[in-house]
Amino acid sequence: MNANIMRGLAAGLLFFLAPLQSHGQRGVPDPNAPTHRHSYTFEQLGQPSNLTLLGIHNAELIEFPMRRDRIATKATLDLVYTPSPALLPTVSQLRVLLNEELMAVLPITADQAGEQVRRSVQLDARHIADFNRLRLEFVGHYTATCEDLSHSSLWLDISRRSGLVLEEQTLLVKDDLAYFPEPFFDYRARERLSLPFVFGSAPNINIQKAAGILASYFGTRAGWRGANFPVRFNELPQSNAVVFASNDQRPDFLQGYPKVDAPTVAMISHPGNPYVKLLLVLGRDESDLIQAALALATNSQLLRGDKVTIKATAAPQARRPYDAPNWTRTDRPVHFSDLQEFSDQLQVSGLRPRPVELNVNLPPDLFVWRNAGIPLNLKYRSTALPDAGASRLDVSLNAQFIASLPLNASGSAGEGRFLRLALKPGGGDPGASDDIEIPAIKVGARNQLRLDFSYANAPGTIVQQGQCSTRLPQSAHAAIDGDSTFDFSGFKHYMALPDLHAFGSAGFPFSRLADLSETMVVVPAEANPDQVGLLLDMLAGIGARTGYPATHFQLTSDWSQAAAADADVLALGPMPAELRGQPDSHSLFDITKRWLKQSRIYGFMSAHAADVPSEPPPAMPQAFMASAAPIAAIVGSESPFHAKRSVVSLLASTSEDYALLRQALADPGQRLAMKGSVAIVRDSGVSSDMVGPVYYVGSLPWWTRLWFHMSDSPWWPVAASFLLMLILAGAAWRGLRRISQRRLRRQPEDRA
Amino acid sequence: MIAARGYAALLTPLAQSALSRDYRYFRERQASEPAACLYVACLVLARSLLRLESPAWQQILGPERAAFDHLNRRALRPGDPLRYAIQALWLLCVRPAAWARLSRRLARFAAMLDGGLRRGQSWLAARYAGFMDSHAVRQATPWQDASARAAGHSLTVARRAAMVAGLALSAPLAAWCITQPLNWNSLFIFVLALWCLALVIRRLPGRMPALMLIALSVIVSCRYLWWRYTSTLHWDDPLDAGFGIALVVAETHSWLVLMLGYLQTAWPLRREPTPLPADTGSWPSVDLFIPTYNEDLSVVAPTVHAALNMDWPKGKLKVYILDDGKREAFREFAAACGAGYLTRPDNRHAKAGNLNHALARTDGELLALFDCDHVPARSFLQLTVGGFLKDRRLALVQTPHHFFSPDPFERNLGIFRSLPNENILFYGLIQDGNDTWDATFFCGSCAVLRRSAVEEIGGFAVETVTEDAHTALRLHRAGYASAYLRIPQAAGLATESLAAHIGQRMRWARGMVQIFRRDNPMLGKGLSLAQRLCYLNSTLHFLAGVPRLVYLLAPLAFLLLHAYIIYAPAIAIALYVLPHMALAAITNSRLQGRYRHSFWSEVYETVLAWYIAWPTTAALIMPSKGRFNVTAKGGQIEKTYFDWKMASPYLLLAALNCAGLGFGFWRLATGPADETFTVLITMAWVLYNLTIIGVAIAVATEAGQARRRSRVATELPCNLALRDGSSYPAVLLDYADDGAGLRLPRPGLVRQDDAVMLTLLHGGGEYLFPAMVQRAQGDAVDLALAPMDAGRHRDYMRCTFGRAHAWLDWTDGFPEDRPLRSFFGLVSMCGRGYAQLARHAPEPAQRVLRLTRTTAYWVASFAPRPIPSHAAWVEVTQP
Repeated sequence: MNANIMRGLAAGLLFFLAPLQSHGQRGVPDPNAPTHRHSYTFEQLGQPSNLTLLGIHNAELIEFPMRRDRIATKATLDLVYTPSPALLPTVSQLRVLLNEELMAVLPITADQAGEQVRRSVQLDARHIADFNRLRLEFVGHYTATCEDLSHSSLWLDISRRSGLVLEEQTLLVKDDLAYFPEPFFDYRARERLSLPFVFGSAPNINIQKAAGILASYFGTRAGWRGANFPVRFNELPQSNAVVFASNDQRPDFLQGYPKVDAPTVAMISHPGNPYVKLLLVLGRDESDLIQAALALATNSQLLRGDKVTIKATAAPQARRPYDAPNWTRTDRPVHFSDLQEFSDQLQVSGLRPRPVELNVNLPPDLFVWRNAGIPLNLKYRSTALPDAGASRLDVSLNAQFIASLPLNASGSAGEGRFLRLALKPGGGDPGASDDIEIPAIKVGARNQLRLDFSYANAPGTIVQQGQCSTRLPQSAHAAIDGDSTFDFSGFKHYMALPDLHAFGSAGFPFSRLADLSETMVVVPAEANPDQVGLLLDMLAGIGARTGYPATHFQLTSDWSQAAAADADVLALGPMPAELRGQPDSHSLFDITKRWLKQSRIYGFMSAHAADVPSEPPPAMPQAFMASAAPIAAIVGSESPFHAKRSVVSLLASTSEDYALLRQALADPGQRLAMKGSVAIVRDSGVSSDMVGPVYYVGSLPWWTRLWFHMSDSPWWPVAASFLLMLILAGAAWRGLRRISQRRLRRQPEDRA
Repeated sequence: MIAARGYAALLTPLAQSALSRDYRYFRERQASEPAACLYVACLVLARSLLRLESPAWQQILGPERAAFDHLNRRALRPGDPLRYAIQALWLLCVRPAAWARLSRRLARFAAMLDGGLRRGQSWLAARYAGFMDSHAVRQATPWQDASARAAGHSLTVARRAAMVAGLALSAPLAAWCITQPLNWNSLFIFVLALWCLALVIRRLPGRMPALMLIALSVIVSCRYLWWRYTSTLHWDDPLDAGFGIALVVAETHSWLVLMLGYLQTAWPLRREPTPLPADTGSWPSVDLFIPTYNEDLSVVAPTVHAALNMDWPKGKLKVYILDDGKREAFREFAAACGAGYLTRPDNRHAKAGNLNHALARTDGELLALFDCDHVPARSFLQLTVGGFLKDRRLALVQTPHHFFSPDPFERNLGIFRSLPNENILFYGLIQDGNDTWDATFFCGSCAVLRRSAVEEIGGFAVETVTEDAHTALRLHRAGYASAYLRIPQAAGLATESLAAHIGQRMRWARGMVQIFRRDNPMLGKGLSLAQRLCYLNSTLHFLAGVPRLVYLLAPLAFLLLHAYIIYAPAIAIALYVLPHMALAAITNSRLQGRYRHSFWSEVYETVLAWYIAWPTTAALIMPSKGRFNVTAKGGQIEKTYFDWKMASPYLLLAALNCAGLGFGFWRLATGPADETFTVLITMAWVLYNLTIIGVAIAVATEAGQARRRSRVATELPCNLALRDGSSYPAVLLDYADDGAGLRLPRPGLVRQDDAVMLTLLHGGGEYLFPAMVQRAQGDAVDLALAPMDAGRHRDYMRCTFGRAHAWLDWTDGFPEDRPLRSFFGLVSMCGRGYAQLARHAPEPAQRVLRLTRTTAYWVASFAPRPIPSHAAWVEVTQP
């Protein structure tokens, strides 16, 4: 009710302002449209620390996006800043520009010197587009004559608590799939994607699979933002949503929609609210739904209009291992241009340019034991500046400094610089000791290479014999050549499992094939919204890690099928009741293992009834203790069905458990805490433990495997050396005695 | 003094008397008046501030005051208060009683451990005595039983299969043991286990344990080399890569020499002389050649006489002097004593040409060769010729070269007859080991060759400057066999100076490398693999010059230029290098300890390294260059001097290494902390280099010789007849060509310049030699022999140098090799080397050195001293 009043008020205000907005860039706002109010601090907009503007570095950019289905109606900049007390009033100013339009000039007055100032600036909302740059420019003067631009008293500090308040109004969006995945996912949005999936009733395996493919696709789109998928059965949400419906299994609100005779994707408005859009995934039966979902996940660029019928989907090419788009290539040297995520990433300008940052993600099973480091061939160039003697390019890795490379007079480094970066097993390796922290690329972690150009000479005023001469700042440009290379090739893939760190951070071992074509997901036979939601969230999470939708995963609720398939198993199931009260890693692990084994027996029972021992089928308690606090667990182990295959079980029982687990999987911090073979998720966080046997996946030449596994067991080599010593000495003794006897032509008895 | 009196007036008479007593004490110790006052004031201050009467203080300042003896017993010096303070502080902090207790406990523990070890070893030795010893004792163990049972048959199928299986298993096992990388903890355990094993095995008797040690050492050294090649080369940096490769190549050379050395010395043959048939008519005729070029007749004459003395059927032995010097005196001498004399118009091909020339003009079935200074024993031919009659393919019998005069090392380091000399390893072990593989080679002297064999290969080889080894190689290629008789049957003079010694070795080195290039033993026909490897090692051994220089300079690449020559963490270097060196040292000590003490090979190599580096490299590139040089012998160094010319390379190396040490300290002080251990290891290496170089410098100090002729020590009965007709039994203690030393039954029998008659007994006969008493001291008498004519000289040789048993004790009397003790011996010799360098340095340098020494002593005078052991130390027990 309160919201309605506010909405009305805002609508009235907008109506009043309407003429002003008429030449805005994004159509006309509807006074009845729902409105949103967002406020962001600079910190949330990607400025982790205060901005300090100086004489030679007098501008900072704040970027913020705007969703395509929204329009800004009002934008207010709340600036908190502190000018240097040395500044001359009036001639010193702070200028605010939005998309290069001057919005306001804030003169620095005498009473503001050295004091924190709070100023609110109204920005002209008409200038707000998809991507917006707010430029804060400092014009500072501290003396009337003979001013040095690099003088240390020329500064102005802008707090990171400064903020931007945006009032947005939803636009009426046309039902056109050409924009897909907008409006369901807008890459301009900064927040986590939350997209409800709606089913007519509890979905069967195939519908779940179709939903999983689509969720995974949205996961790849959402990327770092994360995605979650609230699941509804026959219930219409009040926000954009995806609806899965076959001709005979439809939610009630779609009963009137015409039957389809092919896989179909359509976009309609919410029956009660034109501002809310629904994506319909339709088909005659469940396999049509999978077809439609596949088409959306792999061929969305072909969609147009409000309804698309999928005639035939070309099955996407099977992926090769380790070719996930988000992973750095390990089969050949990588050019920096391949790692580039946005244009201009490798190029910077200004006298104090921002650092060039590159992300390197390596498959967690890269076998880097006793490696000599990886070569980095760095080529760079920059504007030649006078007196550039000590100008340099600083190289750091994961915020640890590595080297400082000189920028010579001509600014470039000739044919490039050669560096060798250490390469270490990631945090998930139980044997890795991090006592001596040297800067190194860590396998299975997100590594950041940072290249920082810094110029030694600052323009300024030189006072010589009473004369002062001012040097104007020159513009400087610098670039890292896209031909610079990393070389991760030549490493084998071999890894000790279970390692939930690899699962949490990279979806490994499932993500080895980016389309999850060797993954078998086992879900309980009866679907409920929580566990379908967990499935969707998890698939989306793996998609976000790999950058490729899970188009080929297998889904089943039949353990015999899971046992027969040569695949890694991802099992979702209820947590054993006896452990909910007193979780213990060892028993959790053991019981999970037993559960897997028994599941197999159970699964085989129909086929081999005679072979089944008299053991009862697994007690999978569906009844839970309602009083117990929520708890969930993730357990990794070797598959009982196939050697070198993994099983990761996500265990949760109640709705709260599922919520907890989904929250943990969505939170990067909690994902980092998942390690070893058992991770127990509670309200207090994630606690991990390493129990149960270790197994190895991947392949190594036999000798390397021997070296690796024997490298910390000294007694075998000692025993072998002893044996060898006996054999060699014994053989030598016999041989030499024979030879010497032949030389002497005598029998040993004759020798004194 | 007046002021002191003034203050004294304020004090009680008791205190006053105490003060004046202290004052007198200081005055007695030669303190000036103001200084004495100052000391008294300090004492008063100390008494008032410290409870000097407490037990702890009393213990330090106790009645004996032993702890301060070194300060109390001399005149006071200005820095003494500080010295007293430091000493007191040290005593308070260190508490020597606690140290003593700790060391006692450690000693007890070590003794316990050692006892246990010894008991275990003796148990093992008793149980497996047969297995451990080559002289197999039957029915000692089941294993032995099995072998005994099988002895009747040849190899049974099962045994052969077992052996093949064992060897087949050993190849992959060896590959695994060598290549298996280990993390630091495991590596430490592995290394420690093998080391302990080696320490136990080392003490077991017999040949089997020696072979076990060799196997261990081979495993560890191969591991080391594998690690060096796979993990420690840094290709990214050209400087690192350059120095690293140089070092790794040098190490590969050492590794190869080590491995081949094991092959050579694993099983010395210990051949015994083959008896001759009773019928002397079947004994072959022998031509005995004594080639000479420029040696003095006094050097050659004893050899000729001794050769003529040899026990061999009349008419079947002809002695020839092959004089390339074309000297009339020699012709006359030869005619006088009944030897042949051959000379030739040109001197082409030096010694080999000389021998070939003689070969064409003589006709004996066998050739015996002696260098002109090698005095043979009369039994030489009887011991060596037997083999030629038994084995038609035998072409060479070599005997050891023995020197009765000290070589430059023995003389200049003062180790004559107290440590094995350089030769003994080669003639005592290596040639003997070579004999197992039929690879004993000819050494130019003290050998018998079959004429027909030598003629078949076209005479003595003239292509290289080491005609001896090359000739032997050709004999082997032609399918002839060689034998080595490890019984010295001749003795000669060692090289007289370091320069001459180095000159000789340069010739050998050049010659062996020439062989390596022109007639490489690894290539060509006619040799077995083992023969090839033995010859290869003999040539590789002389290529050690450049690698040795690399070792001497490599640490500087890190300390001066900061090149990572071994690109690995310091801990890895320690865990790989030390076991490799330790096991090689233990094994070599076991194999060679009787013939060469640990670390001496390094000394010999280092002395030669600089000088043979270039000739060997040049010979490797241009094998046709290089002339024969004659080794000078028989000279005398009259006065001790420092051979600056020869020592200059070592001085340069020492200076560089000292600079490296300085840089090391600088790096320790200013370098990054994670490099400290690496720097320390490298500095230890530099110190080791400096030690070896110091010994080399000590060798360059030519010690003067009192006598022109070296005396041969012995203990033979003899008689001394005096002019008055009385005759006394005496003991001949030493002899030379021109003099002898005797022990008389009692002192005072003779005086200086008495003319006497020395009677030597030999083969039942008595031989009289007139002599003059040169010196008489107590019962020891030194005689100068009167000049002898040819016949008397032959008799003298027969009684002394020519005795069959004269040299049998050549390897006896040396202490057991203990690697650590040997090393500390070298350290003290190195100290002497540097001290001698300081003594002989020119004046400005002397002054610097003196100043350095004085400063060092002054600084050291402040260091606290341990309490002399005689001082009773009572520990204060807390109540």
